[in-house]
Amino acid sequence: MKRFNALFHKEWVEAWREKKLVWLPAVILLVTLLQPISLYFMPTILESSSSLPPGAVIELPIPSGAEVLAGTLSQLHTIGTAIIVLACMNVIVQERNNGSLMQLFSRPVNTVTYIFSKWTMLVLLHLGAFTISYGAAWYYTNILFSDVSFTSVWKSFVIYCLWIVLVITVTLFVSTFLRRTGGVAGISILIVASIAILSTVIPDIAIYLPSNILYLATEVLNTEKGTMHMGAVLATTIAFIALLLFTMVKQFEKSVKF
Amino acid sequence: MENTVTLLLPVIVIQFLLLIIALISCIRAKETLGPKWAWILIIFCISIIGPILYFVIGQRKDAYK
Repeated sequence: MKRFNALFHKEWVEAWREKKLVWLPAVILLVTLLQPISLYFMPTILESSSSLPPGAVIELPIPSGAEVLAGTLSQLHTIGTAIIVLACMNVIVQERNNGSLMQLFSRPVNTVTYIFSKWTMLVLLHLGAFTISYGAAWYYTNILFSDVSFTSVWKSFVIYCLWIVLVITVTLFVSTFLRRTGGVAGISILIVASIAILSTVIPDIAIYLPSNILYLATEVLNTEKGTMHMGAVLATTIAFIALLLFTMVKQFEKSVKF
Repeated sequence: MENTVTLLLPVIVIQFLLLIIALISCIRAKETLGPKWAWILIIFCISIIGPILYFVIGQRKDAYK
């Protein structure tokens, strides 16, 4: 536990030095905030940018608060996922390439402790950033559109958190195999994208798979209660995360033994 | 109009913050991957994406302080 704390502390110091502690929350906040704001100003934007003949009337239905928040989530699903992969891709690879990994493992450090200190730090950082930005998006939605109840926001928040943890775990998993940051980013995005695509390729099976998380979160926002597959999806996601963590530790153990 | 400004204020502030932090960290770094002046240009000229690009691929881990 003492070693874990030391490594965990080191991770935070490093994140501060890289300024990841600042830019990551800022970027995710920007991505989420822009959705409700741009939806609110959509009529004005269309009016001033399109070359419609004079007298043309644009009538857009005003979306409900739940729809706006669901839009925010789907925005996060595309842009946010890419940002998370970019932020996580070089945590292990960089240390391996500049030799500090060798230095670290010349001391009695457990690989499990090492991996978990990194994983816990990344998860806390991203979930913190997501909490702030989702809260801000909720606040804006309540002001600009209609109110969304706290319970549905809270439920969708918890469901979506699992997706973020999954993306982080996949990226870390890939970075225990590869030695180049570019490769890590490419392969991780490929894996995450293929998980997301599964729901359109095999819709019958995919209702139980993590690819359904976005849909579930949207559903919860709209109807306030989950569909019947919610438990199955959450269970497979957690199982998948656990499996990835396990394989990652095993693989990493092999790669640091010389 | 006033409404517009107050709504957009947080977004502008965050964007500005990102730019300033990226600039400071770029100028104070001993070395960046690639020429420093190019990174400063990128951070200034491409809003939002410029600073992110610098943070993700421009920094060198052994060149802090």
